[in-house]
This record gives sequence, C-alpha cells and structure tokens, in this order.
Amino acid sequence: MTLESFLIVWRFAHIGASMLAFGVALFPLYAGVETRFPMRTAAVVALVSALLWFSCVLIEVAADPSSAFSPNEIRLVLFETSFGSAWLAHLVLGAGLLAATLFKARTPVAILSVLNLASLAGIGHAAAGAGPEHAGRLIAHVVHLGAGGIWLGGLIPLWRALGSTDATQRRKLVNRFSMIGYGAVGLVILTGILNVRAITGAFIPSGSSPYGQLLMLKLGLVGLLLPVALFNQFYANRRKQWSTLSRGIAVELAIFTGILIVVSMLGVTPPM
Amino acid sequence: MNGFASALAAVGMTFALAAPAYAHAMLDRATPAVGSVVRIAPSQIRLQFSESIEASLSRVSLTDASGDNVQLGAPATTKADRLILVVPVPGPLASGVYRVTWRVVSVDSHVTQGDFSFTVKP
Repeated sequence: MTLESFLIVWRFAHIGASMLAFGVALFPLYAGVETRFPMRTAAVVALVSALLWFSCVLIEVAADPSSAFSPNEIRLVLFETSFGSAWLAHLVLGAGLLAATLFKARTPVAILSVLNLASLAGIGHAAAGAGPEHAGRLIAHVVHLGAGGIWLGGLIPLWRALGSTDATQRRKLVNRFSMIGYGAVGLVILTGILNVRAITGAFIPSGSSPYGQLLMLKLGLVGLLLPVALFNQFYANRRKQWSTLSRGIAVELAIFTGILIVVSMLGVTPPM
Repeated sequence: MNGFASALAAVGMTFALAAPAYAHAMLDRATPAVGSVVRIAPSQIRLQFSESIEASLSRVSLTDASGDNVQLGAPATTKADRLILVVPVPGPLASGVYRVTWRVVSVDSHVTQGDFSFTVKP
C-alpha cells in the first residue's frame, strides 16, 4: 500500500469518527432524549486515526523520509509551520475529547466534540490562503463539517430510538430530528457549493481532472441521499411506517459512508 | 436574523469574487526565468508560487552543467503572504547551464516539486 492509500484510510476513520462524535453528542440537546452510543470508542478512533494521519503528513513533508520522526523534524513541523500549529491544536483537542469521555463528563464531551470537529477544518485544503477570504473559507468548511455531522450523527441515535421508544416518543423524536435536519441539509449544500468555488474556482466542478471527477461523484451521492431523506421525512415519517423509516435511515447511512470515502480521497487529490 | 443574513451574504460575496486557491504550490514565476539566458550571474534565486509555502520545509538545489552542486544559502520567504521563496547564491556563478531543483511544502502541507534550467552567458 502506498502512503496515499494509508492516508485515505486514516482520513476516513478520522473524519467519520469526529463527525459521529459531534452529531451524537449534540443529539440529546435538541431531541431531549438520552442516547446510548460508544462515545469513548469514537474518541479513541478519532485520536488514533488523527495520530496515524499526522504520521503520514510527517513522512510526506520531510525532505528525507528517514528523518521524518526525528524529534527535530517533529518540533519543526509542529511549532514552525502553520499547518503544524493547526495539527497541534487538533491533536490536543482530540486528546481532550478522549479524556472527557473517560470521565463521562457530558458537557465537556459536547464542547470538545464541537472543537475537535471545528479544528479539523484547519488541516485540509481549506487551510490554504490568507486574509479575509481565508477566514471565510475556514468558516464555510467548519459549518459544512458541523452540518454534515449533525445530519450523520443524528441518524444513528434516531435509528436506535426507533426500535426502543413508545409511539408518541418516537414521533416526537423523528419530528425534532426533521426540524434540525432541514437546516443541516440546507447548510451542507450551501457551504458545499461555497467550498467547491473556493477550492476549484468554479461553482460546478469540471469532470476533466481526477479531483473534479471525485467531486462529481460526491455530488452524485448527495443527489442520491436527498431523495432518500425526503422519502423518509414525507412518506415513512408522515405515514408512521416505522420499519420503512428504519430501512430508509440505513440506506442514508450507507450513502453517507460512500460520501465519506470520496471525501477521504478528495483530501489526497490535487484540486486542479 | 438580519445580522446573520448580512453576514451570510458577506461570506457569499467573498466566495463569489475571490480568486480560486489551488492548495498546491505551483511555480508561477522564477528569477532567473525558466529557460532564460542571463548576462549577469544572479546573486539569488527567486521562486514565486501560486500558494503560500513553508520555507523551513522547502528545499532548493542548484547544479551546474557537470551535475555538481552549487552551494546555496538557506531559503526564506520574503513577505507575509509567503508566496516568494528567495535562495541566496553566495559565490559567483561561472558561465554555463544551471539546473534549479525545488521541492516545497504548501501551508496546507501538500508537497510539490519541479526543476528548470537557466544559462549564464556574459
């Protein structure tokens, strides 16, 4: 396996775990229902995959791969480069999130899951640039990750709650998620368009480069996700078809997994 | 809500008007220019990139026609935007063909590399 394929795997694990931890931690705040989720496992996966991803970055940027893990090289990267300080902040917040889950401190877990996800925006393609444009791009990226995290992270507790709570509770839960869901989907699409514009210079990606093709694939998957989400909301939910809704959510989760794989590949592809 | 809407519009305008960023540093311009013939031997090599770069992780080497390395100073960026990498050439360059090989790391940690030649012909 090449360094790039490892990077894709660690990126997938990290982005997925960070978005899930965030979305699940926020779920009780709007749904008003406690949820059982292996938050500690998510935090471990997020931190370990972040460290592995960072090791790949160290190997990649080192002029001499044999000295990639020398204390001097690590110090140079962490303290003397701008992407290094973004990584340092991100790793510290990831470690903080894990510590908070060990102590089962709910509010710190929620806060750190937000900060962990937000600081993820600083270590990708959106981190390039300077000035107000740079700040705008970072904000759009943070909102994109956050809205996606609320959507993805809400689906799992919702899916579980469907099988366990009584009918009134179930309906209330689904309605609350739907309300949040509309906002999240809208923000994902809006910030997604802004990010494409910022990174490629066009509002619609061109299919002439590998990056453009991956973006089209991502758009295609989002194009599949939206009708499924709409079906879940307007058919399964309104008609109280709970088992159909449950299957619909499973389909949404499967498409989300595909989107995250494409996103992981986008990060290692030059946006030309 | 009005404040939020106008903030959103401002962010939107920024994106609509901003020039695209390619996130990988490509060589935009070099002094001595790529493939050029210069009369006066340069005392420094200036490389301008499409993206801000990390000087501490960037490497530039210069070889003469026989492939021998020419001693260079430490590369450094000149301005706050960190788009231009300057490498001092301490010794005088004799006439001949020189090859510049560069490998830079952009501020978002992507590595790009390339090379070009120039000729010193007084």
